[in-house]
Amino acid sequence: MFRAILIAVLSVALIGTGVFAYNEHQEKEALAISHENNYQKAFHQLAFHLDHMQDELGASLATNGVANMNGSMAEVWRISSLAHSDMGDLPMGLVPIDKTEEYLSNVADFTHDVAIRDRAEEPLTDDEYEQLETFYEQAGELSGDLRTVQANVLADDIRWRDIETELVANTDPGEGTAIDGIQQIDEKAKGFGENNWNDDTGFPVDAEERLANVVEDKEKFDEEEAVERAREFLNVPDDTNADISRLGEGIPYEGYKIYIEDPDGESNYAMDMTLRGGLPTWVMQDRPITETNISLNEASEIAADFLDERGFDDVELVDGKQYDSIGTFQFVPTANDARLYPDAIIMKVALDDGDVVGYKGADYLANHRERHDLDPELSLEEALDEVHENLEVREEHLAVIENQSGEEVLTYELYGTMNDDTYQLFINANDGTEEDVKRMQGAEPVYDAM
Amino acid sequence: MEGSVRYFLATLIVVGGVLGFATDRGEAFSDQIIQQGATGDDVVELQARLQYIGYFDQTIDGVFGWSTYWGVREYQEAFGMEVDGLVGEQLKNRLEETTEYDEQHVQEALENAREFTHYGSTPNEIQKGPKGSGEAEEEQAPEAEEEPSGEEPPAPEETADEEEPAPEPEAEEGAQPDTGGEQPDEGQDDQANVQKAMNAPEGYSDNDIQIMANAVYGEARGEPYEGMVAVAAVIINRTDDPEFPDTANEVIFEPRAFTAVADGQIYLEPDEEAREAVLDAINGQDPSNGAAYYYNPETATSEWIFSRDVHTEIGKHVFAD
Repeated sequence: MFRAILIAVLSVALIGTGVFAYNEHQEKEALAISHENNYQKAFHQLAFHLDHMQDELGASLATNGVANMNGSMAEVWRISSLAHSDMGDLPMGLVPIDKTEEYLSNVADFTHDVAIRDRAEEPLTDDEYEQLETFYEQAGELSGDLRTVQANVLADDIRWRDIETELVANTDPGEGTAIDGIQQIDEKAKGFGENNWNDDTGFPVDAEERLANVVEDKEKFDEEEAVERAREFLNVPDDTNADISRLGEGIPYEGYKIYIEDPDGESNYAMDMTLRGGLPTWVMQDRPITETNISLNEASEIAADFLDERGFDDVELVDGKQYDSIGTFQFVPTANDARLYPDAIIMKVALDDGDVVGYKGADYLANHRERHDLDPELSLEEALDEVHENLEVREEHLAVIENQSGEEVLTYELYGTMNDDTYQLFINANDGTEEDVKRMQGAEPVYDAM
Repeated sequence: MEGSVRYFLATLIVVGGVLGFATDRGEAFSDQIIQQGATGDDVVELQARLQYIGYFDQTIDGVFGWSTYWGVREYQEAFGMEVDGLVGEQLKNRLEETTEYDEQHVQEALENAREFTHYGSTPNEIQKGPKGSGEAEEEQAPEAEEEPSGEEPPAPEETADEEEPAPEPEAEEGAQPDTGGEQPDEGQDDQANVQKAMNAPEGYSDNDIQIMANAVYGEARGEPYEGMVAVAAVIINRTDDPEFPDTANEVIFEPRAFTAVADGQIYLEPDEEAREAVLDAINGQDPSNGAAYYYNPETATSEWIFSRDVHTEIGKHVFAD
């Protein structure tokens, strides 16, 4: 009797466990499948979007009418962005497919620029038309290759989950696999990048490279001199403990990483400095800042004094924000009354004791130089004519900014209001082009204030 | 960094001064010059007082943003002051003389995210006494008027939206914020015009910052602060890089991009430091010096990652391009 009950109980338990395990398994399976489905979707969408991108690029080549072209340009722009985002959804974080993404990005930038401008006044130049043709051919190649990979994936029933597992396990993708195929596509895209259309500015795009040019001929600082220079910059006593090492070689200039003890207490300053010229590129201090004892205004003056004492001439505060007990400021140098935004310096001041706890001067160091072309051809009144009539302009400055193609342009920086919003506009001071319009962000409500 | 002792002393003096004077004057404005970007009680008072006379018609939120700035400038222009958007002593004195400010009432509404406005038609009889020197306002007739008013004459103009009387303050208007304890909810049924807020960096919402803080905390907790800033900077560098998606969200959730996302550590509650690191990075700090990748050489599995050029090493992480 007892035995029969035991057997019954155990049987029920066993079946129960079985059912439970089965359910668990099913759930996991379902999850894995949905995961796989997302990858599959992204991959097939990518192929689909590349196909369509090519179609639309072809259409835009053939179009004569401005209105039609607007449509296809905008469409290419949209599709290239979608394709770019599809790529982002594939588990490719571990393999370099960066060139394909870069290609898509270039197409998007180009078509966006062309789509938003008024081509009745500014038709496509010959160069641009040629560029469009190149994009068209390249899109054709990419989409052809990708379709081949896609066919393999479908024929061999390849699972992205398996690819992912292989990638994580770091096994080498064999020839003919999907990863291999995609990597080959990327190789091809690398070739496209070599005649990159937006790379011909002459002025290195990368701030790091510009800085490398600036410090090229400056005198070398050895470690001791660098530490001395750092102490001086931070205004700490000569005997403060310091630790110095070299920066890696991936940066176009040589540099030091320096840690200096804060004489007040336990915290460290961390900073990077160029080896040539001994120029601090950034500084930060790590310590908890909980109290607020001084105002943002005082802090901004402390930051301004700090810059003044270190020989940054004619800098103007253009933005200051308080985040609890921290003040963050942006300063720009001015020349001929123009604000030089590419040369901006960032300062951070603790509002408990007014210490400077952050500095970033890399952009200043890389970009600051004498600009010769700071006389606007347009008068302010002429620039104001370019502004939307509903916008009430309330403040104006001259400013040098880097526009969306990465070129420096002299602009009128205008602040105006429309309804309850404040807008910042940059109107090219030489030809009246609207270089940029931004709605200024308001404060962020504290949503959990209830 | 420099002369911190000096600043500390200066701070002591300022704080002492604020406490001392403020109590004497029975006013809440501290001695600070208030400028754009500031947050806190002085800004609340400034907004409330400007609203009282119709120079500010937006939400009282304690953040000196653009609309407060324009309000201050209009006011300065109307009263023949230097138009610089800075709220100094002269402006504060004038505001104190011509407007009323029921600090407790406003602060409480702010704390409780209550809906209310602070136009100058509040019946004052149940308050213990007139505040500031607000004699002139009492007889002004309320009129519904939301305009921020470029044309406001020197006499404080009443604008309106009735407002429930403030709950009885238990003490004099204090010099310090938050003097009031619990107060019963009076029905405040005007439009939502008071809400606590904070500064957000241009181009990012607080939710963006939160997600980034989650990622940074998941990836770099236990690392030095600059290492956390560097991780946040890498996320931002990627958004600027044509090889990566264009938003922080997409970069973070790109499959296999970050281990903390893959293993779910991104869902840990980040600490304040991670948040601050994100803010620093958004505001332009980049200890990685432009890197788009980083890895822990002890745990990294991908051969490929080791082939990248190293920018810098911070803590356990190597930053590369």
